Amino acid sequence: MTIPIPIYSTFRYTLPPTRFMAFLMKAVSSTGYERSTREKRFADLIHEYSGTISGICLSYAADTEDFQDLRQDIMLNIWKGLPTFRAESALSTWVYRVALNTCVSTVRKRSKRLPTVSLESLAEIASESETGSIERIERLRRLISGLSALDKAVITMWLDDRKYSEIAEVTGLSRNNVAVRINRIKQKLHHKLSPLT
Amino acid sequence: MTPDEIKKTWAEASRRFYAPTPEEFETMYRERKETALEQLAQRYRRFSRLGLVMAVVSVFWMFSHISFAESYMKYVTSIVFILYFATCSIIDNWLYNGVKSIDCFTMSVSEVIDKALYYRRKHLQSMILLIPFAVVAMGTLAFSFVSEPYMIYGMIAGLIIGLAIGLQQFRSFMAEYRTISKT
Repeated sequence: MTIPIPIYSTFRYTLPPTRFMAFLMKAVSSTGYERSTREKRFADLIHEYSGTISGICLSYAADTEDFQDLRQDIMLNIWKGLPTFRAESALSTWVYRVALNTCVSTVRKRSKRLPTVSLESLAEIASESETGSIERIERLRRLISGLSALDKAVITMWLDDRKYSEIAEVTGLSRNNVAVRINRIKQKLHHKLSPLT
Repeated sequence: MTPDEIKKTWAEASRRFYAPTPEEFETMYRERKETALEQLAQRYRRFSRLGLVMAVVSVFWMFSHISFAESYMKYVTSIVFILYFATCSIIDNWLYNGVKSIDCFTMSVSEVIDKALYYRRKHLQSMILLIPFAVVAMGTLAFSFVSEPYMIYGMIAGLIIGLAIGLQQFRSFMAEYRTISKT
């Protein structure tokens, strides 16, 4: 027996009813299933921050497998940490802290394969008309991947338009240090990306 | 590209990612009960316990009836192996506690980076200590059974295989240590 699962994305899946799928249906369904607070919060949070989480993974991942591993680790950490979130900081700050800390906390062995994570392979983009913008994004992503772990954290948050004070709180740097780093990285990116404009 | 254009480009990249699919949730919940960091901590704890067990087992060599080349070598070999496994166990336990102390929910990113690199560096440095120690332990064992040719042949075969694997591991170890030292 299969159960159609209406999901907030544009896709509709039919999957066999497993114990976890019952949880997922409850967590993300829009048809009024009774949901526990934690599941609802988790589903809402992942829905709201999926782009942010994916962008952070894109900065830190060495290859496609790494990207998937990082994304799953971040989701797992958010799921585990959500009950302990006490609103001492904004939820967005907490999500950034958890996502970035998950990425930097394990020194991953360099993959023997050539780096294969590309925007096309991850986001399944195939449109020919988007070639120019894909190249630009790819170039930006590769430049960011070459930064140190801390610089990646700073620049990823800056690219998401977070305030300097929030960046300082999440990274543990002083506000001045954040400003200096961002300035330095901006100049580097501007210099290396200029030929594409 | 101006800073605003760079931000727009990045926002465009992030917008292209859909929320995780049900399959990803499924994988996360069913197969991936622990993050990579938690798995690392559990690995250290497993090896710490294994080291402790091996140290206890090594005590029984003192009371065994195996014929050593010299009678006193029974005690020397046993003590060397007890010390080796106890050292491994203590180091792994220390690394386990260190890695467990990394809190992704409350620590800042720079704190986590510092701790992660610190314990990774200590892991690599402990290998510098333990590998020669292991060589000494095996040498003691070889000396203990110098009169038993088949034991010696077995140890030589193991040494050759170990060297082949060890050289490959050593190269990746040095590459990683150089990367960490530069960070």
